[in-house]
Amino acid sequence: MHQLLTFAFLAGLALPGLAQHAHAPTTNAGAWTDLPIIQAQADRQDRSRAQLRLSGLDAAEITVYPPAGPARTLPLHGGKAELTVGAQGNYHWLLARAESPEEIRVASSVRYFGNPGPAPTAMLAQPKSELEIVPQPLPREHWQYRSAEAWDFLIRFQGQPLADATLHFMSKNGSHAAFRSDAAGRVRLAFPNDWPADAMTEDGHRRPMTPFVLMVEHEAAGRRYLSAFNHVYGPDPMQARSLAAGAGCLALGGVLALPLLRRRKEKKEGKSC
Amino acid sequence: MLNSLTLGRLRLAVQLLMLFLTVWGSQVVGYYAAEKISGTLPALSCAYDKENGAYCVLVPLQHQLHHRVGEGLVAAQQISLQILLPLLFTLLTFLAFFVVLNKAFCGWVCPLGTLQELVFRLGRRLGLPVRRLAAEPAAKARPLKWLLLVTLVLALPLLAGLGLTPHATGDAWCQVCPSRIATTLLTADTEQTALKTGSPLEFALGATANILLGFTLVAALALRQPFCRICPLLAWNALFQKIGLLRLVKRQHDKCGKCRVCTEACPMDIEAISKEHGSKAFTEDCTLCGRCAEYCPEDGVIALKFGPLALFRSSRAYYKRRVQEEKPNGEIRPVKFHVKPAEPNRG
Ligand code: SF4
Ligand code: SF4
Ligand code: SF4
Repeated sequence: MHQLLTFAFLAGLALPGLAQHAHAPTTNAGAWTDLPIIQAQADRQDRSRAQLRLSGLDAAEITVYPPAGPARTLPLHGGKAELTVGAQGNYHWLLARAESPEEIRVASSVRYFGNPGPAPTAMLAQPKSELEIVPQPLPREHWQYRSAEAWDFLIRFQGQPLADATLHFMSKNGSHAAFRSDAAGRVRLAFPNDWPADAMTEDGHRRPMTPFVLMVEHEAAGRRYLSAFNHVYGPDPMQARSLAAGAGCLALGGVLALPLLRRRKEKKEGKSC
Repeated sequence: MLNSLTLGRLRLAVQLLMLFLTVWGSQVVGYYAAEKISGTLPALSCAYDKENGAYCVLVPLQHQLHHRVGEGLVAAQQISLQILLPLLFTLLTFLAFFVVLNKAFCGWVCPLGTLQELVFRLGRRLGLPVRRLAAEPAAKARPLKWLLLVTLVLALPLLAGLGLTPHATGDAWCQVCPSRIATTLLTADTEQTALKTGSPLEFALGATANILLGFTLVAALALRQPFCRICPLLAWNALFQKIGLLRLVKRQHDKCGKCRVCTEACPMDIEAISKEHGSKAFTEDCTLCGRCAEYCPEDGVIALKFGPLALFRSSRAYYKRRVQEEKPNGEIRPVKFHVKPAEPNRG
C-alpha cells in the first residue's frame, strides 16, 4: 500500500498530465466592491500564467506564496501584474498590503494551476500577514465554492486563532452577510443561493461563477487591521438537477433486474471432482 | 489462526481496505492527496466523490482526449508533443501499474467490484437463488465492453474536443458510469444521483447511469459481478494483460473440462478456465480474483503467479478446507451450532 501511494505520489509529481484539470473559473471583473481584492484571469488551458488585477488597495506589489518554497514579489503596474509559474505547484496564495502608522490593509486570494505539486497545507498554515482569513480547506482540484454549501474559514491574528471576530461576506450577486468566529477562530460560511433561475444553463458548458469577498477587521495596540480574501463561487448544482428523477431511474433499474431473483428449477450443473 | 486465513479472506480484507481508500480515503491520505493519486489508480474510484483518496484513470483519459487532443487539434491543426505527452503519461502510469499488478485491480481494488461482491454475499444470506451466465450469453456480452470503451471512453470525448459532438459527451463514460452514483451515495452525497435537467442528452446519459446501478445492485443479489461483464475498464485492463507480471497460470489435467469446479467458482462464469490451459485459460474477462485456484481440487493445476514466483497454487487439502466455509458458487455453508448435551444432574 505504502509503495502504491509512494509511486502514485511520485507519478503525480513527475507527470504533469495526470488529471490536473484546468477548469479556470470565469471571474466576472467589475467594480462591485470597494474592498481590497485581487482578481486573476487566465486562459482556460494555460497552466503557467494568469493576469492579476488589484483593486481597492494602493499597493506596489503582490506577494506570491507557492505551495512549497520561498515567496516572491510581483511589481504592480497600474494595479496589474502577470503571474507565471513553472510546471510544478498548484495552489498559489496571492497577497497585497498597504501599511500606514494607523492601519494595515491586506488583500488576499488563491490561484489554482492544474500542475502537480505538494498539498497547500503548509502554505496555508504559514502566517502571511497580521490578520488573516484562511480557508479550511481550499476546494480540491475538481471542486469549487458553491451556493448552498458550507465551508470553513479560520480567522488568525498574529498567527493565533481570533475568537469572536465578525467576518463579512459580500458577493457580486448582491448578497451580504456577517458571521462570527467561534472560540477556535472558525467561521462556517454558508454560501447564499443568490443566482437567477437559469444560472446553470448560462454560458453553455462553462461553469458560471461569481466573485465574493470576505472581510475582517481588528484593532490592537492602537492600530487598525483590515484583511480581505476573495474568490469565486458557483450556483447550487441541484438547481438544475432532479433527485426524484434520479431515484426513479435507480428504482427502474432495480425493477428490471427483479426477474433474476425469482426462484426456478435449475438443472444440476457439472459434478464435483 | 493461519489455518483460517484463506486467499478468499485475504482478498476480502484487501477489498474492504481499498473500498475505504477509494471511497472515503481522503481521511487517510489527506484531503489534497487525491490530486496526486489522480489517474494512477486504474479502478473506478470516482472523481465526483468528494471524500475519495484517488481518482479513476478514466477521468484524465477522457479529459485529455477532449480538452487536449480534440481542442488542441482544432486550435493548432496539428498534434504537438505538448498535447500528446500528458495523454501518453496517463497511459504509461496506468501501464506501469498493470505491468506490476495486472488485472488484480478488478478482483482486489475496484470499489464497484467489491460492492457487487458484497451484495452477492447478502443475496446468499437472504437465501436468494444463484444465477449463472451461460456460455452463450456470456460470449454475446463480451464485445459490449469493447464497444463501450471505444465509443464512450475514447471516441466521444475526442469528438467533443473536435467540436463534432455536444460538450456533454466530453466525459461520456463518466456520465453513464454507475460507480459515480454508487461511490458518491456511499459518502451520503445525492448530487450525482440527481439527474441533470439542463439538456435532454445530459438527462438521458444520467438516467442510463442510474438505471445501470439500480439493475446492477438488484441483479448482484443473484448473479455475480453483473456490471463487470460490460465494464469498459475490464476491456481497457485486458489490453495489457499479456504483459502483466501477476497472472493466472493453468496446466492441463485429465479431469479438466469434466469437473468444471473452477468455472463454477469463477465470478465471471469463465468457461475457458476449466476447458483450456496455458494462455488461453487466462481470458479477457478474468479479474484475477484467484477463486478458480482456490477451488481447483487438483494439486498445482491453477496458480496465481508473480513473474516466476507462484503466490498461490491449487491443492486438494486447501480445496477441502475452503468448501467447508463456502461452496464454489458462492453459497455460504450454514454455521452449525452443536448444542452440548446437558450435564447429568449430579445433585
Ligand atoms: S470490471 Fe469494472 S466494475 Fe468490475 S471490478 Fe473491474 S473495473 Fe470494477
Ligand atoms: S477444477 Fe481443476 S481439475 Fe477440475 S476442471 Fe477445473 S482445473 Fe480442471
Ligand atoms: S478465471 Fe479465475 S481468477 Fe479469473 S475471474 Fe475467474 S475465478 Fe477469478
